[in-house]
Parts: sequence; structure tokens; C-alpha cells
Amino acid sequence: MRIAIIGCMVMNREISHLVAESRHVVRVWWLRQGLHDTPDILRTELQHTIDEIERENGRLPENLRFQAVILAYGLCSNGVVGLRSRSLPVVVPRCDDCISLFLGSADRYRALFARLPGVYWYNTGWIEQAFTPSKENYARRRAEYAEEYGEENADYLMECTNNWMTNYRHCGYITCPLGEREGCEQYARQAAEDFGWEFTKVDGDMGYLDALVNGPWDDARFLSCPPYSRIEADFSNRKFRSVPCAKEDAAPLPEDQKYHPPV
Amino acid sequence: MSILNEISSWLQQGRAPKVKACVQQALDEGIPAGEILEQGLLDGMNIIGQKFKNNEVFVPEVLIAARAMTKGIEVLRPHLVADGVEEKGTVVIGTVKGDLHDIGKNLVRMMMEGKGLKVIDLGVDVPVEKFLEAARENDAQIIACSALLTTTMGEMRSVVEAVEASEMKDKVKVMIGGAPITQAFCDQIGADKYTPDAASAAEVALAICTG
Repeated sequence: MRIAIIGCMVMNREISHLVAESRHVVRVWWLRQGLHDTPDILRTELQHTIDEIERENGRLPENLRFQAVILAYGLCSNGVVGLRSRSLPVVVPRCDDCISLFLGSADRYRALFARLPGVYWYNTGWIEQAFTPSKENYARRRAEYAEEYGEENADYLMECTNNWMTNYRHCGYITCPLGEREGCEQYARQAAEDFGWEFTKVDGDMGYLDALVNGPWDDARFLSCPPYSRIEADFSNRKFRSVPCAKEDAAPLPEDQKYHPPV
Repeated sequence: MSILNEISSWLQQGRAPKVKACVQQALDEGIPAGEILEQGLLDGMNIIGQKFKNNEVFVPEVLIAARAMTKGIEVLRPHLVADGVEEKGTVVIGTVKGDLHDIGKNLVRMMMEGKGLKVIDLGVDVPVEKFLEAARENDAQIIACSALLTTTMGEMRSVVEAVEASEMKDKVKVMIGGAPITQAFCDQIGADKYTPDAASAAEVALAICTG
């Protein structure tokens, strides 16, 4: 099979490894980590990329065309809700976000979420690609606040925007099955110590990501959204359903226009 | 610039000490406390709320403006009480059980206070029963629930069902909001109102309380 994956950089190492070893022919379009903070932008970027893959497919000889688009994303702040395609099925894992993918299943994520109340997750991808809580990162942020809003407001803003940290109680460190990167566990342990969180090390599991890259995409773990349908949230543990949409509603985004999904 | 305009302007810039000083000056000039509140503090907060809604300012600007407002109200409060200026309604607010995030919830609280509403803040990780107890004790018109995580937003359904099953059924409206919340979710769980941002939440809450 020929597969197009749209991947978040937070999973770069794992997906790259699986792609290299895949029995399929896989090409990955990477988006930067952190877009879930601005879900409308994430949705726009994803839709533009789906559109681009379908356009590109039209230019390829038939034997080289992609047969599916895979999203290496969960619900991710509803960033995938509203996405649609015109020629290729779009496959999305039924999970909240990448933590389920790193842990091997959404059920395991939910069980750990219940067992470790107030958990902040760290792993190699997050430490390498994202803003993660650490003393150094917070010193940097405070300096930015002081410059922008004045010394008088800086501590207040730090307190307001970081109050959640004092509510959190656990630091969950997910190991990388591909081999640990030097310094990552230490980074997480240090953060746990600095913020007074209990450190818990959890084994990473590539099973869910393997199934994502290589299939088969069973309905229990994946939604396969057919062309001319839209991905919608279903607010259950299944996370998604597909809803047929009119031809005109499935048109590609104008390249210069932001996408806003129908309410 | 009149002193009330000055209060509004300093508030929008998040300059709490200036706001305090100007509120005191306005009192000294004999301006009624209610007028200072409405035309100075709440005016400034309304403008910030609108700008926030239009993405012209962001969370830090709202936070420092709200802080300036709170400082101003502290100076005004004894005078407001003496003048018999009343709150326009009561809201019980909190982040749902299992969710420990409060920036959004705090913004909504501040915006609601900026509309002259009394807000009982239950904090984070709030169980269903606690929302109901607080609403009952404070004779609230609104329970406002926040969630940041898709993992925890399902708790809102339990709040709606508990209110439905209680004697407050026709009296208390449930408002919901937070990053993953949508109108579709609101419809599905049967909550009364969803608002996409803090400024709209405050407007809707005021409309419910005064309407």
C-alpha cells in the first residue's frame, strides 16, 4: 500500500522508525509540535495538508498514488474535528492525544489518568520538541513577562498562568522503546523535583503507533473517514464518527483562507 | 481626560497602582462609588473583554487588567456597601472533577465580576455534589463549569444530570466552556449555555441573571 501520513513532530522518532521498517510505502508530512494550543490553526494546517496530498495524488501516475491519509493525531483539542477529503479515506486513531499513542492504547492512558491524578507527561518527543515545564523555561518566561508587562506584573502573571503546576501531583515519564535518549529521564526527574511532583516511570509501547502506520485499522481503535464525509467528535470513548457532507462542503480550502468548520 | 476615563485607561493597561490612586482621587472629588465602578472600572474591563474577544489582546493583558480592576474595587467596596449598590446576580464557578486547570476559569470569573456579578469560585477538581451544594447555599442563578481536557469534559454531563434531578432544576442554569467544549457537545449533554470565550460568558451570565 502507499500511505500518506500527517504527523506531529512530537512523534518524529517513533514514526520515522516505523516508516523505515514498514512493508508499505509511506511518506510523512510533518507539522510542528504545539499546534493543539491553537486548534483552529491546527485544523487549518491539517486540512491544507490533506488538500495538498490529494492534489499531489492527482499528478502522480496511478501506480504511485497514495491510497489513504493517516493522521498521527488524536482529538488534540478538537483540531481534527471537521476535516474531510474528496478522494482518499482519512484514518484517525480513537484517542484524546499523543499520550495514548505513546502508551500503546487509549484504555491504558485512561487507566493511568485515573491512577495518577494531576499527571504531567514527559517523553523524548515532548522534551525535544515542546515547551515543557522546567526551571529554566520558567525563568525565560518570567523575563518575557517583565519586559512586556512590567516588573510589577511579572510575578502575578507567572502565578496566574502557572497555578496549574501546583495543582498537578505526578510527573509521568514515558520511556522510548527505541532506546532512551541521554538526559531525557534526568530532565523529567529534575522537573518533578523542582515542582514537587511524584515521579513515575512508565514503559512506552509502540503497538498503537505500529498499527497506525501499518494497519489494519480496526474500527475499535481507528476511525476511517471516507471521502465526502467529515470527522466529528462523538463525545464517547470512541472519540469520533464520520458524517457524510455535501459535495460543496468538501471542497478544498482556498489556499489563502482560513478554514472554519460548520457549527 | 476625566478621572473616570483615566481609571478606565489605566485599567486597560493593567496598571493596578495607578488605578487604585485614581479611584481614591475620584472618591475624594465626591464622585459616587457606583459611578466610579460603572464608568471607570467596568468600562475599562468591558473594553478589554471586547478586545480579547476580537483577538486584539491576549490572556496576560486580561489578567493584569482584571487584577487592576480588583484593586480598584477593594478601594471602592466600603463605599459601594455604604451606598447600597447591589450585585446583579450570583454564579457558582469551578473546573470539573479530574481537571486541575484554572486559567480559563479564572478569566471567566474575573470577566463576570467585571459585569458586577457575585462569583463563588470553587477552584479546580470540583465534584458534582460540590457545585450543587454551593449553588443551593448561595442561592445562585448559574453553575458555570470549565474543563481543559477532552478526558474530563464528560464530567459536565453529570453536573447537568444532577441539576435536572434536583429541586433547582428550573432555577439554576448550567453554563459550560473550556478549550475542547463546543456547541455540539453542549446540545448533546443538554447544558443551558455554551460560550466560546470569557467575555461572551460574562455577557451571557449577566443576561441570565438580569433577564
